[in-house]
Amino acid sequence: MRENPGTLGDGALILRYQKDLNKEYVVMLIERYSAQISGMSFRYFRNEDDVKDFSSELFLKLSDKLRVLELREGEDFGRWMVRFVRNAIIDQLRSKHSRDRHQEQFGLQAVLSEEQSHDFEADSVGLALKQLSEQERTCIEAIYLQETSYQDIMQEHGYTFNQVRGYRDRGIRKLRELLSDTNSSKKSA
Amino acid sequence: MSQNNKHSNHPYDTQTLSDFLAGRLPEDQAKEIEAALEHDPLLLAALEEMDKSGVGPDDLSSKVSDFEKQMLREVRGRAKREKGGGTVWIRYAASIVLVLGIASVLWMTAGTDNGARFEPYVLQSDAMRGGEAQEDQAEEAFKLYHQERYSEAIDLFEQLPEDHPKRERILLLHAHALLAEGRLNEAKPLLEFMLAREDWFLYQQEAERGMRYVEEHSDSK
Repeated sequence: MRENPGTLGDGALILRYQKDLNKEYVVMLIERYSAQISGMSFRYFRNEDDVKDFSSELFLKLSDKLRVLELREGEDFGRWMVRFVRNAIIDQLRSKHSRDRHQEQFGLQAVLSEEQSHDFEADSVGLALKQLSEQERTCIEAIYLQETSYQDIMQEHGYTFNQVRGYRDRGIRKLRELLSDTNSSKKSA
Repeated sequence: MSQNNKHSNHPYDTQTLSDFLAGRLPEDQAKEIEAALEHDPLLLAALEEMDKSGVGPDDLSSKVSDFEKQMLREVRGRAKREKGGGTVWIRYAASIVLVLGIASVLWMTAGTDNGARFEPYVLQSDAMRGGEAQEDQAEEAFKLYHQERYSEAIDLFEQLPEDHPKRERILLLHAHALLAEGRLNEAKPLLEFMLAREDWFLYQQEAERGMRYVEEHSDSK
């Protein structure tokens, strides 16, 4: 009976590809992880041409890399893919003019737009940060100032994914209130 | 569940991921994903980026799903073309891209030394701090930048790791130092990268100013 490659694990698919160099295996791997790859990439590439370019590059680069990839015993393909997709995004952004890709700003950025002065860290945002709970401050600083990934925050502080989001959201809400108070008192002064 | 994600180890589609972020999943399914996050870095990275995208819960699924459909269409099309002898075409295309790339580099380099001098971001002296040992190199680079010794600062910025905790500031100062030195074509990708980061906000205005300078002074020739 003919084996259905769709039932093979990632490692077995990669070995098949390395043997036959049939790119259908690469397509299958991308299909398998398409939701995750899209989740990681969609916000960087919003127009059709950019998505096309990125997808095409992703496929070509993955086809190349998988030819020589050797996953060691117990090594996680998912972790490798995270690095690979991130690098592909950065490479693509570097090679393209992307000024139009930052139009939708994350909520905090809009809140803080008036706070982008040179002495940001010593100014009202810094003071407002001090008024957050320890967990909220930790998450806000880690995410926005130190650019730490959720994974690192979870590992370092023992929070769950939803706790990180919760502390961040509560922290942002409080910052909004604190900063709007600060701005109104500045205006009335 | 989408056809594309039926492999037993990766059972989530874009709708499920969006619903998880929006808190719309039944408790048992949400718990299952929470548990999967503990050992699935790809799932975690996808959810993190979706969460940071700033796209509201009602639009998130359709935006990610549109991306997914387009990506898969492109990938399948590309695989089909390659199967049909596309490699010769790709070789020709690669040569054309290479020639165009070299031409554009030459063109951009030619356009670097014209017009008004760029005024780099003014780094406040209180933004420089004594730090731990691993921060010394960054602090040294900030100091050189502050002293307007841009060329030396650039050498140090280039050596700093990509995962440095002060990466946003480093990239901005690196780009502005390059602009101050008239190296527009090197500054441009750094600024593009900064502007594409929707979760960065500290130096976006300065990055935009730098990019405007690049555009004005590259186009004018």
